[in-house]
Amino acid sequence: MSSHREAPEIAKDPVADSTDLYAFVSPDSPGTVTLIANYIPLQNPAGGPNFYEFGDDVLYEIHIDNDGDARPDITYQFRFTTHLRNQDTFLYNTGPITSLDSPNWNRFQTYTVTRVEHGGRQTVLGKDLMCPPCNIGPLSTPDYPALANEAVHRLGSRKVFAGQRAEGFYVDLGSIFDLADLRPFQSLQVFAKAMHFQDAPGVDSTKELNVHSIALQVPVDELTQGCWNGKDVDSPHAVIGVWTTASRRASRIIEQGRGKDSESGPFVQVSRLGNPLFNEVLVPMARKDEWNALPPADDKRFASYVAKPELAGLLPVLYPGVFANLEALDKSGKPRADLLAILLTGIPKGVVPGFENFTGPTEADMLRLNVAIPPAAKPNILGLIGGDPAGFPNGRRVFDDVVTVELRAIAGLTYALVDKSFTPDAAAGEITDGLDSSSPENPYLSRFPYLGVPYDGYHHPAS
Amino acid sequence: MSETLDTERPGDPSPLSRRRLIQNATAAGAVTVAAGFALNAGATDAAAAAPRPDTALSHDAPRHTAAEPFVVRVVDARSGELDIFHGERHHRVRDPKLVAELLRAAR
Repeated sequence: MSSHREAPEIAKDPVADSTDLYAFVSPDSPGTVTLIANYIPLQNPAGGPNFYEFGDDVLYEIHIDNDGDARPDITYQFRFTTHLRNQDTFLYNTGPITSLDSPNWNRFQTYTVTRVEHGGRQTVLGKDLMCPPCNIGPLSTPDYPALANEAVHRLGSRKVFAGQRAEGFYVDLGSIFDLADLRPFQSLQVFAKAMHFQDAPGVDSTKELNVHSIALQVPVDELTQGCWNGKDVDSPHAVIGVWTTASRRASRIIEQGRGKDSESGPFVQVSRLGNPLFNEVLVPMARKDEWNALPPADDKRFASYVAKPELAGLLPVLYPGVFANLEALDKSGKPRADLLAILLTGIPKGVVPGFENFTGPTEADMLRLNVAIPPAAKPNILGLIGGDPAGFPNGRRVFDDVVTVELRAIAGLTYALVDKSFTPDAAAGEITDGLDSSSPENPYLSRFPYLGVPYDGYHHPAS
Repeated sequence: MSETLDTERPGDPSPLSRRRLIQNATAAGAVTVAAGFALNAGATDAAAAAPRPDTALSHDAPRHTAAEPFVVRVVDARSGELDIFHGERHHRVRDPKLVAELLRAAR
């Protein structure tokens, strides 16, 4: 998946496991950028009695690089505190929760948002901000959208929200991780063909699951170097790099008989996410946890996996005769300059007419957003390869089909951008896992925080 | 005295001396040697108290050392290198004599 349980160690620590990161110019407020970092993957809506919540012991951060060195110039930090109203009940709520101050809501969370600038200046933007409850069911949370709206906080010219949302990322995990089988094309897959599988529609593995989102909407000039806010796509100040991290304290002591642990020492990074699927699909399993612990500025040491991706070598083997041109490209030994640009440096000026999101030669996995490109009136979920420069890999919108985009890029579709003599295989422009933005059951919102209303446990008891 | 091996910013407080380390540990309460070479000289009294109704289960940063374990890890017994974790800080020091004392206590 995008980054759900993508590395062996973080898969055991869901509270600190970043799943998806989004950054886009807000379609309903073009003077602002929306940043969303999702955590706690694959939540079954019927999560009682202990419903999902952020970790009080985790430091969640969204970082912005605005000068191309892949180090944070601005960081937004989120720290959570869990509260328990009644020590004598096993229940999350003892009656309907109709407002965020409902006395029926027994266990709730508040949080603090702090802005940290390069150099150390810290500003607390908001504290004691309420999270909404999880969406339990029609009896406990009868008007969930109203609760969630109440949890959208205005902090001056910013908006912030932290709490449960519907999973917006769609992917056919069950098929893809069964030897890279793509159901719509499985009659061509070597093992599926041997078992006489017929082509079939994709199946959304994250359908009716929830995540926890940290969403922040801020003015463009709060993120750019020198408070730049212009319309020149080629301005060196127009592109920002975004990534999220989760950190835990260095030392943890589990004391016998206490039923809780205690921690000390500085926060140490345990999870990271920039571009979707980077750690999941490109970094070898033996190094995924190392990658999670490092800053983007150190990503040069992983560049070889981008220059020669393992999956590009597997596609011609798994789909014999379908990716002949890709196979020739693999055998040529040429580095995948297209993928290095898309994922590690940004796309320089001149590669795609009217577009660039280049941040300089520093190779770093960051979600790069050119803030001078306005939101699309008619978005294409394939983003840039679909002719829509407001979408992935120019940042990422909640509905972008990043699985298809990256599958096609790895299959060679984008290599023609950097080598005009290369002809992509016809399949490179067609492969998909068979899903699109209509796959999630709960629709995306047209306003902040954009991800859909989370699924409730009563109506989705067996997701 | 302990020799600091920190690479922290100039102006940061210096690491604890052996005497202060032991004083801290003593003041904090029981000294527990965990499996291996980790020594937890933590304050356990705060955690033992039941949280009151309608109070936070934990607290926002910055956290205070008094309510947290004071952890020392022997990094390298031969060179005498130690990691000290307290509050949100980490120090690495070299103190062969202290390491020897800790290893003796852990037997």
